[in-house]
Amino acid sequence: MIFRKFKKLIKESRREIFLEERERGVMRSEILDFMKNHPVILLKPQSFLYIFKYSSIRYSSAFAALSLVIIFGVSSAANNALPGDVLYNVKVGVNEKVLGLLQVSDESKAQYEIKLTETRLEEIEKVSSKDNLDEKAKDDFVLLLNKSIKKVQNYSLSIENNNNPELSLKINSELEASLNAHKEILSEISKEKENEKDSSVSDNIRGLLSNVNDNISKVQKNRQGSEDNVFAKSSTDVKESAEGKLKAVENKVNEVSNFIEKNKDLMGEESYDSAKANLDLAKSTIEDGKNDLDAENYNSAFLKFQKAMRIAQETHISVKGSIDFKINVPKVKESDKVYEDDEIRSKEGEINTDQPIHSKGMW
Amino acid sequence: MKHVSGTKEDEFIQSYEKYSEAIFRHCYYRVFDREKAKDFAQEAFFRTWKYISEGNNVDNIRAFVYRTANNIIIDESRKNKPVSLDSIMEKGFSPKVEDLKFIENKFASQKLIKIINSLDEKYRDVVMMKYIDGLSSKEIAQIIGEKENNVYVRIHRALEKIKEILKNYDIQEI
Repeated sequence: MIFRKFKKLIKESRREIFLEERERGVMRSEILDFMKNHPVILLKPQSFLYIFKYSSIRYSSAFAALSLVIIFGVSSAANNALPGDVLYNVKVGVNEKVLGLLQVSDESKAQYEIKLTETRLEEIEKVSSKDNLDEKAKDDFVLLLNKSIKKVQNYSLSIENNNNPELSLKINSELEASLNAHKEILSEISKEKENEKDSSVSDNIRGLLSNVNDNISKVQKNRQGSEDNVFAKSSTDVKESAEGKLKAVENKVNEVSNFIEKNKDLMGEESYDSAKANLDLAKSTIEDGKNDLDAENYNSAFLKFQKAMRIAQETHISVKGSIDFKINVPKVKESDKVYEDDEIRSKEGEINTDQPIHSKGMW
Repeated sequence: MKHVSGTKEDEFIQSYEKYSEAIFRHCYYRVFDREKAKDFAQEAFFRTWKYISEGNNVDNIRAFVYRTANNIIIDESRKNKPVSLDSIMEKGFSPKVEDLKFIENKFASQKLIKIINSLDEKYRDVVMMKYIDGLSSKEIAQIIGEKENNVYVRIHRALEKIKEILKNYDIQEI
């Protein structure tokens, strides 16, 4: 009897404590936004286990399962293959294509292609340092590299056309940071190879570098186009993005700072000082951005935080390169248009907000 | 292949539709603040999605969201002093009343809070999860990180205590 009353009490209280439809709608839309900004990224090797678990494969016969284990074994082994290795074609032609198909949104597709660009550049560096970069390998690399970079640009254009220049800027900046850092690593490797008897490796690296430089110019132009579009947005629309970007860049700077300290002994004094100087530049750029934030110049603040992010990302890759190839970390070069506040924006006056400017600066 | 990831997103949104109400209520009965409860429930879904989006598998989304919500509440209670029943009553107890006929009940939730607050924390949690949130003992075990048997024992003991508490009440009030 008493327990029945208790249950009745619970039932009645459920009717009192509830979310209104409007509240549920607001929460739903916040969650959908969050999901959009945190798309599913399946880059881990264990993604194959995920495919296995969620596909009808699990219901197949033992023989088929065994075949899959062998296939996955081969495909997993191919992940570390370099050009010239037997399994390299499996890595590029199967593994990467399958993982590419799993990316759904334009953002995750762009991020995946950036990851592939970075993988190609790391492969080039490893192959070059082992004197294995012949002309055919160079041409193959150029083809694969250009393909991935072109895809990133297309996805970024599509994002920009969906009126999200902040995200497009993030993607272009990340690609630019990666290309810049790897260009410097390759230049250093090329210099080391110049004095060797067989200059063909050095010549091939230079050929590659010329391609990377062309791509950097294009990506830089697109990044600046995205910056113009962010700057042209209403300041209040950018407020939330600027605040979010500040948290993200502070986390990134801390991450890189910890990474540098952890690997201090492996880097050499000169590299350590350069890396610290780069991070100081990122930190002072964040401080400038914070001043803009206080002054409610949200567009300018966002651009500064993104710039600081680019510096931190570039430094991170450079430090990894300096550890792997025993080369110096270069100082980050600044190549930015300065956006100060709304006053400058109105003085510049070239940005016509009545016209679609999403394609500005794009290929 | 695209379907795999699409399913993840669809599944998550379906889980939100199914469990958001209960998660909100779960948070409410722990913090007794409507706005905070909404924020905590939302944060629990954010964190769960972030975990999933990073390629991790979650076997039971419902249990995972509850566990996340519990962690958020624990973190919050470490930052702030625990809320006493007196302070809730002082602050003003304001459940949403959809229909006037419920006013006749003199706020069942107010009475429920009073009873539940009389329990020790370890009994309070399992009773709330079992009877208010409608979770199975297995799910409760997953959420609080205890064996299922221990959950049964706790629920049994909690009910004994509730019986004692209710005996001291004027039954007509309830």
